[in-house]
Amino acid sequence: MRTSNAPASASASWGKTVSETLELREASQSEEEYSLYDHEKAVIQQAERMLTKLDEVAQGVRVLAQAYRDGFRETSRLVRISDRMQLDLHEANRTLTNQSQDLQQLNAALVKEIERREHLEQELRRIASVDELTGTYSRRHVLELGDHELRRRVRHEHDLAVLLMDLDHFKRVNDSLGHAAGDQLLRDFGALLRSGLRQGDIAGRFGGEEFLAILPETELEMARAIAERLCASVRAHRTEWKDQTLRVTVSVGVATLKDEESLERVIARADRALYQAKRSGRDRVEVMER
Amino acid sequence: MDSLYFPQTERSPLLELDFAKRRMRIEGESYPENAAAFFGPVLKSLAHYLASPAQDGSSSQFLVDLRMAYFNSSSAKALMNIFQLLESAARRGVRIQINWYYHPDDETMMEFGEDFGEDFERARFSLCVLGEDGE
Repeated sequence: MRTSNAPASASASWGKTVSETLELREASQSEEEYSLYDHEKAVIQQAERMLTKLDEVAQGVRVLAQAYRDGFRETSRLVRISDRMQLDLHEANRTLTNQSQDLQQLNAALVKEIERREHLEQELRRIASVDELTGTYSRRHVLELGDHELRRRVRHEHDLAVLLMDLDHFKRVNDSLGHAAGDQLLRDFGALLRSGLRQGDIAGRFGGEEFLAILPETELEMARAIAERLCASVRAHRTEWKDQTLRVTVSVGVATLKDEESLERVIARADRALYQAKRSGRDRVEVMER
Repeated sequence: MDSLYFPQTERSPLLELDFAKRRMRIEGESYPENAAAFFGPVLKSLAHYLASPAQDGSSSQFLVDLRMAYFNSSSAKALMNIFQLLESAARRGVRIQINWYYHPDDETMMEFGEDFGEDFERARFSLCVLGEDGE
């Protein structure tokens, strides 16, 4: 049994191999059948497979087109959103630029105003530091400048002289001819005093008809000479007042600074010299020796 | 072909398309309400002009001066469309010169110019710094 069966089994397995080689896959076909249309059937199958692949490609193109459409829609939406945001930013930026310009203008106006005020302050300080009538410094300012010279002197160890001056019998002029006449005398004296001093000397109206001069780097004898010259020029001067000619004289007290003395102290000593000049007959210079 | 001229407005740039002189210029800020409506006629005229037979010879040329101070995304898209037309024409043999002017302080416009410039192979694209007098 086994031996007789063996060739049939071998024959069947051979037939199957052939059919596979010819790619005939009809299930109903018997393993021993042959076809004359293998090629045609293969072409048809090939064409069908290509159609399937074309369908797959077409589907792929459809997917691509949809993806492109989606992407394009997203891009145009993003551009719209971007335009909108840029508009806001651009307008905000312009507003800021305008505000910045406004601020700059405001700042320029403020700087101008500050300059105006500083100018005004300087003018006020000048008015406060100068006696308008005589053109000499005010009492406060001449004392300030004197203190400043004193500090300078501490460092430089120079002499410093002080002249205290008082117009003689000034009250009489004021009482008999009026304040306007007195003012004219003061005005003239101020001019004489300023022209009689050197550059760097400090002259101020100390009050009423009293004047103070501070002469830095000046020894006593030089100060005395300057005072004598002033005294003489005042004596020689004539003040025209309406149809009258007015004359006035001045008494001067001179002192120089002692080592560690304060400005008040040296002025007080000049005042004592002035008192001495008045007592000795006025129109003269008295010196307070060291 | 008729030339086009749009004066500058708050939101749109000065735009001149002068076919007789073979030149085009765009200057200023560009963020029009409707960028397609503003640039559409320009793109159409330019495409038509560049495609016309007179522009086919290698002797033909076209000059573009751009002085942009600001532009939004849609205007950037419009500019890129213009650049595509110009580069295509250059590939057909038209001599295209594009000058991208920017103010020395304007780093943004300089960078945008550099960026746009990278797309050109046949058209000549030059970055030009504006002087103090705007020239």
